[in-house]
Amino acid sequence: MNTACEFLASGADHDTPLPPPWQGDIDARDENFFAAVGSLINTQPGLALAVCRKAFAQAQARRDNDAAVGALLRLYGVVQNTAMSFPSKSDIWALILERADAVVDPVLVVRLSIIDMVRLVDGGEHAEVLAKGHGVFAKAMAIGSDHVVANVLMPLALALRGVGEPGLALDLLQQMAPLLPADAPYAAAVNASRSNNEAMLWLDLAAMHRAMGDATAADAALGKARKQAELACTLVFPLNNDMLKVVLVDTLIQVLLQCGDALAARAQATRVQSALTAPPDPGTEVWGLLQLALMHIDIHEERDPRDMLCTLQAVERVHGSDFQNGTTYRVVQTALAHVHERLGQYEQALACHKRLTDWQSQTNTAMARERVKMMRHAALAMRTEAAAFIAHDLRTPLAAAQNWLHTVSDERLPPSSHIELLEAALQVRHALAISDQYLCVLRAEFLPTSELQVLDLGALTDDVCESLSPPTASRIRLARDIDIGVEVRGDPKLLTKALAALLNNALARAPAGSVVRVCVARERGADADEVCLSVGDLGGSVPLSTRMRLHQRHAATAAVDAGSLSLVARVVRLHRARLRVDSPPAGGCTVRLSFRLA
Amino acid sequence: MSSDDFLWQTQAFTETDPALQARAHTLLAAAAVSRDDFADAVTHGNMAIGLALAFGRADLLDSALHPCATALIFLGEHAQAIELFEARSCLAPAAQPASLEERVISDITEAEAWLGRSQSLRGAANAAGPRKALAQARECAERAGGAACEGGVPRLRVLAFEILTEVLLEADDTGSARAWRQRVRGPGDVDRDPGAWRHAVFQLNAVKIDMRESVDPASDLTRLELLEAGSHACFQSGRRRRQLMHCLWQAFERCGDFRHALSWRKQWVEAQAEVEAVQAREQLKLTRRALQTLRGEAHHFITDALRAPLKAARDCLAQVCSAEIQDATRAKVQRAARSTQRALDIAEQYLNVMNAEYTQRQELRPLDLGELTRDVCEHANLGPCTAVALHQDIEPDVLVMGDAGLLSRALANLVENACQHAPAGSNVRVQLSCRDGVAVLSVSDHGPGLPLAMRTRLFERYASGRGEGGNGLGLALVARVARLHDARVAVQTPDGQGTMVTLSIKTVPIDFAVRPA
Repeated sequence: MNTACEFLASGADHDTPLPPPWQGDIDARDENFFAAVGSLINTQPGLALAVCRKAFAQAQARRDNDAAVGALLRLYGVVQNTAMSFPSKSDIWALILERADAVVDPVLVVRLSIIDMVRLVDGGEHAEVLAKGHGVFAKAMAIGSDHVVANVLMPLALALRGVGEPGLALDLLQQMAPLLPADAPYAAAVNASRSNNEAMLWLDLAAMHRAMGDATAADAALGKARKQAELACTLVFPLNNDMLKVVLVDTLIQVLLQCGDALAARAQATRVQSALTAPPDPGTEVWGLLQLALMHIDIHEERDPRDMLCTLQAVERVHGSDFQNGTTYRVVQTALAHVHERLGQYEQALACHKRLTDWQSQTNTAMARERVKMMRHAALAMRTEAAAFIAHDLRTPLAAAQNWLHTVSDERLPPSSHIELLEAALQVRHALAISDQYLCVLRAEFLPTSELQVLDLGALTDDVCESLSPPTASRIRLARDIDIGVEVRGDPKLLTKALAALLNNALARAPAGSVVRVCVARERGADADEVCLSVGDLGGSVPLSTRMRLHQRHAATAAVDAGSLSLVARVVRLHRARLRVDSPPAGGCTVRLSFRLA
Repeated sequence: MSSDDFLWQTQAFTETDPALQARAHTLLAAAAVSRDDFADAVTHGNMAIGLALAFGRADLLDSALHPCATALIFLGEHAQAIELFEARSCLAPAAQPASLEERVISDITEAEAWLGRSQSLRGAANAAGPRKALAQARECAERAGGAACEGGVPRLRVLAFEILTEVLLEADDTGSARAWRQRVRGPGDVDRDPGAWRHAVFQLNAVKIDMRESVDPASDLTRLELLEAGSHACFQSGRRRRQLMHCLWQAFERCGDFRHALSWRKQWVEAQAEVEAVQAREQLKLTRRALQTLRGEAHHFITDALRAPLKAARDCLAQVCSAEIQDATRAKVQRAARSTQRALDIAEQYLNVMNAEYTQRQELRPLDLGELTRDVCEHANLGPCTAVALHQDIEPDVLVMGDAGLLSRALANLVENACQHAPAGSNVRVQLSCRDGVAVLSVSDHGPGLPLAMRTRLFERYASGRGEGGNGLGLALVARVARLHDARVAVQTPDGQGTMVTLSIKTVPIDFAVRPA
C-alpha cells in the first residue's frame, strides 16, 4: 500500500504541466471528470494517470475524502484497463477501502460498489455479486445517470453468466446498449466490451442448443455471436488500448473458428497486429494473449506442433496473475497438453493434464456451487426480510392496538361490548404471540453455530421455572431437581423459549394435583460428557401426531400453527442436541434433551 | 410406476398406520438413491426417520437410516449423516436384534460418513478434527469387518474389506490393511470363483494396498489389466469403475507407459466430472426445496396464522364502536381498530412484496397499461389529503407484458405516496406516454423534492424516505415489481422542486398482444 501512496504523493511536485483542460483545480467528484479521464484511458493512458495523480494530490490538500476516493477509483480504472504494472491494482484497492467508509457522495458509493462487483466477478463469486447487485442497481437508477446504470449492468450480466443463466444475462446486456452514447470515446471501449460479452453469451447459448440437438438454433446463435464479436473489434481497433484489442480479437477468432471460417480468423489476426499501437514486447501480457489467439487458429488448422510448442513454452512464462492462475492458465495448459500429445510426448502431456484437471476440478462445478450459494443468499435475504417485517412493521401497530385496548378495559361498558373488547384483546395478543414465535423459528433456522455462547443450562432452566407458575387452582406442583453450573453452548433466547414451550405443554397436560418434574443432570453419554434436561408429567399418553411434530427434522410445512413444539424441534436441531420422548400407552410423558457439555 | 403414484396408492393404508408409512418412505428413499435422485432420497428418508423416532421404533429407524445417510454422504453433507447415526441413541434398542447383514451395512455406511467428514475437514486449520473423524471411521469399519468375518458370509466380508481398505489407506496404515486382507480372504472361499463379483472386488482392493507400497508395479498393472479384461458387471459403471480407472492410470504411469496413463486419466476425469455434475444438480435441488419451504412458511404465517386473529379483532372492535358507549371510549377503541387495520394492511403489503419476488416472468400477460393506470387513479386511497388534485394524462393503447395485480399495487403505492407528500391545493400528475417502444409512466408531485442521497436509498427497505408515514414496504414493492417487469425506475427532482418517479417498461405490439388472449 505504501508504494501506491508514495507514488501518488510524488505526483504533484515532479509533473510537467498538464495540457488544458487539466491546468487548474480538478474536482474528482464531478461526473465530467470521470467521463473525460475515461476517454483518455483509451487514447492517452499516460495523461490519464497524471491527471488522476494531480486530482488525488489536490483532494489530499483540501482534505476532501470524497474527491480523493473519486480520483483513486478513476486511477484504479486506468491501471486496470491498460495493464499498467505500477502501482499495482491491489495497492490502490487497499487505499480505496481504507477510505471507503467515510464516503458520503451517493454517486461515489455506487461507483465503489460497481468496482467491488467487478472484482467479485473476476474472483468467481457470482452469487455474491447477484446478492449485492440488485441493491446497487436500484441506487444507480435513482441517480439517473445512464452511464452509471450501464456500469452496474455489466458485472450483473457476467455474474448471471457465471451461475448458468446466459439468457437473463443477454437481457441485461441488451438493456445496456441504448444507455451508452455511440460517439463518446470512453463509451466506445465500454460498448466494445459489451458486444464482446454478448458474443460470449451467444457462444454459450450456441453450445447449449447444440447439446440439446437443436442445430438450427445453435447456428443462429453462432451468427449473432459473430456479428457482436465483429462489432466489438470494429469499435476497439481505432482506440489506443492494445490490451482490450487483443482480448476482443481472441473472442472473435474463437467465434470464427466455431463457424468453421479459419480464413476469416487469419484475416482478423493480421488485422489486429496492424491495429496495435506498437508490436508488443515478447513476455508481456499483451504479447502472450496475442500468441494464444493465434495459437487457436494454428491448432484448428493442425499446423506443425513443434513451432507451437516453442511459443507456448514462452507464453507459459509470462508474468501476470491470469497467466499464472486464472482462465488464461487453463487455456495455456490445455493447448500444451494437446501439443505434447500430438508430438507423442505423453509424459509431458500427462503432466499438463494433471495440472489442468487439478485446477479444473475446482472450477468445473463452480457454476453449480455458485447457484447453490445464490439460493442460500436468497433464503437468507428472505429470512432477514421476514424478520424485519415482523419486528418493525407488524409489531408496531399491534403493540399500539394492545396499548389502546389496555386503556379501554378499565372503563364501564355494556356487557356485550365488554366481551367483544376482551375477545379483541385476546386476538391481538394471539397475533403478537404468533409473530414472536415465528421470529424465533426464523432465528433458530438461520443462527450460525458460531454465535452460540457458553451458558449455564441449569441456571437457565431454573429461571424459566421461576417465571412460570402453575395455575394455583390446579394444584399442580413443579418439582425441580436441577444441577447448577452445567455449561453448554447455546442461544439463551431460543433455549428459554423452547423450555417455556416444553414446560407450558407439560403443565397443560398434567392432571390436577399432580407433579411436573424438571430435571437437569450430568450424564455420561456414549462418547462424551453430556447433560440431560428432562421434563416429565403424568398426563395422558402423547398422541403420535404431537410426537411427530417434535421429531420433524427439517423445515416441514406449518412451522407456525404446529404450535410451540415445532420450535422445540428446531431449537434442539440448532444445538445439535438429541431429543427423546417416552410416553408409554399407560400415560405420562417424559421429554429428554441431551446436550453436549461445553 | 412413479414414486408419486406409489405414495398415492399406499396413502390409503399408511394414513392409519404410521409404521407402514415409515416403511413406504424408506422404500421410496432407497428407490430414489438407486436412480441418483439424492435430494428426493433425503426428503423421504427424513420423513421416515421422523416417523420412526416419533413412533419409538428402533427397527424402523435402522432401516430408514441407510438410504438417507447414503444420499447425504453423496451430497457431501457428512455431518448430517453422522447426526443420523447419533439419533439412534434416542431410542431403546429394538426388541429383535438387527440381522448380521443390516449391522454390517449400517457400520459400513457410518464409516463412509466419518471418512467423508475427515476428508472434508482436511483443509481446516485444526488437525485434530480430521484425525478424530478418521479414528471413528476406522472403528466403524473394523466393527463391520469383525462382524462380517465372524458371520462368515463372503459377500459381507468383501463389502467390509472395501471400506476397510479405503479407511486404512487414508490413515496410511498399510500393515493393518494387509492383515485385514488375510483375515477377510479366510480359507480361500472369497477367491474360489474367479468369475464372481466378490472375487473381482476383493482383487481390486488387494491391488490398491499393494500399489501403496509399490514393490512390483508391473505385477500390479498386470492384475489390474486382468480385472479390466474380465469385464465384470461391477466394473462397468459407478464408483468401482472409477476406482479401477484411477488405479489403472496410476499403474501405467508407474510403469512408464505415459500414453496409456494419459488415456486412462482422461477417462477417469470425465467419469469424475459426471459424478460431480450429478452431485451439484442434487445439491441444487435440495437447496431449492429448502428455499421453497421457507417461502411457503412465510406465506402460510401471514395468510393462515396472522390474518385470522387480526380480522377477528378488527370485527370485534367495529362492533364495540357501533355500540352505545362514551365518546372518549369510542375514540380509544377507534384508534385500536385503526392500528389493527394497519397491521392487516401491512401484512397484505408484505404478501404483495413476496408475490412480486416469486412471480415468474413466464406468468406475465399482455395488458393495457392505460386502462390499468386509469383504474388505479380512480380507486386510489388518497386518505386525508383530499386537497390534492389528481391529474391524468394517459396515452391510449399502450400494451405491456405484466402482472395486473402487482402493477396496480405498485402504481397505487406511487400515487398514494405522492399525494401524501404533496402540499395542500397542489396537483399530483400521472402521465403515461409511449415512445420508441417504451411505455413511460410517471407520477410527479410538487412536494419539497428529495436530495440525491435520499433518492438512492429510497427503494431500500426501512430507509424511511420521507419522514413519518412510510413503512418502507411500499417503495420496496415498486422496486421489485419493476425488476419483475424488466422496467427501469427513476426518481428525479426536476428543476430542484417536487419529485417525479418514472417507470419505463418495454411495450408489446398490439397484434401480438391480442392473439394470445
